[in-house]
Amino acid sequence: MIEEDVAETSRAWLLDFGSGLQAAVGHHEMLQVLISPTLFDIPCVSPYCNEVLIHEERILPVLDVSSMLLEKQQVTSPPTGYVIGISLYQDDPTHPIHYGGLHLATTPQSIYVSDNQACDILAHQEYWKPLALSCFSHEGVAIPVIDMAYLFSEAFNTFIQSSH
Amino acid sequence: MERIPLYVLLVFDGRYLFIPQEEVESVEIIADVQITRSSTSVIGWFFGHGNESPVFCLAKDLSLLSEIPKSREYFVLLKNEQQPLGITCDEVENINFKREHLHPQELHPVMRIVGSPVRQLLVYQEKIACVCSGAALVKHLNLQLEPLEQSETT
Repeated sequence: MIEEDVAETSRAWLLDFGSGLQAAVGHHEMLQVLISPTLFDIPCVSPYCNEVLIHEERILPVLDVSSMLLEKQQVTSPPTGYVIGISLYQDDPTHPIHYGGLHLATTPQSIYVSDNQACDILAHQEYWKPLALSCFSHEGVAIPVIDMAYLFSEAFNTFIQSSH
Repeated sequence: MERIPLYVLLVFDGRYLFIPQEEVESVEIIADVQITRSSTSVIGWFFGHGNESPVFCLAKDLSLLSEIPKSREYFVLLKNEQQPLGITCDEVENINFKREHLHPQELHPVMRIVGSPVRQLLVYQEKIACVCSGAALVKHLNLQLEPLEQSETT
């Protein structure tokens, strides 16, 4: 009997951060999507994370990934129609779950990814390298799977501030 | 003994700022400020408590304003090694965090930058308030004043 190689398939969320930045996270790493929630601006903080929202009695940071990685000026959220994804992450499986908001250009797309879609990060997508756990090809585009805990970490924030 | 979490709330331009009460010398009315015009953003001086204290106006983004908005009715005199320093506000109130069941959250690591006076955030009257230390706020003011003073001397 010939054993067939069966590629493992996983569910993921495809996130569009705007400015051509797309990345994927595990299906369990997105909690909710909010349309035009009330955002509060905070002074004297990082330019890519200067807003927060109140979610279930917690104050969550709202991160603009395209501003963080591409050093773009953060655009003030329009009065209506903007999308905020609530992600969850753990620094370590033994640590409590943390929540964070992400500015998104559109609502996340649920996709299936198989092992045989694996590819390398493209040279012009260098900015994803510190965050990427792996990468796959989706509709002809290389999509990194990003480490959400590292994205929201002090270490990555320090790295970004020293490299800007 | 448990420390009583007493704070002074300053409200200006819709910004809610809490400063530990122990770092506040006094709260005064704006009428007691001797208004001056200066390029260093000192909007006036307060002569009281045996000191000459400069008074500043902050905008919502905590940058310095060179003129006093009409809504500013008070100023809070912050303790400082060299001389107390005033910050104007529209409203001011003493708040006991414990009594008001207020629970500040540490500023998220991804929001932090070096030299920021903002240490914590909390939900207050359905808004987000910033908790600052008085010393960090004085340092923040001095950092903004340095380039202004340099341009004045050149």
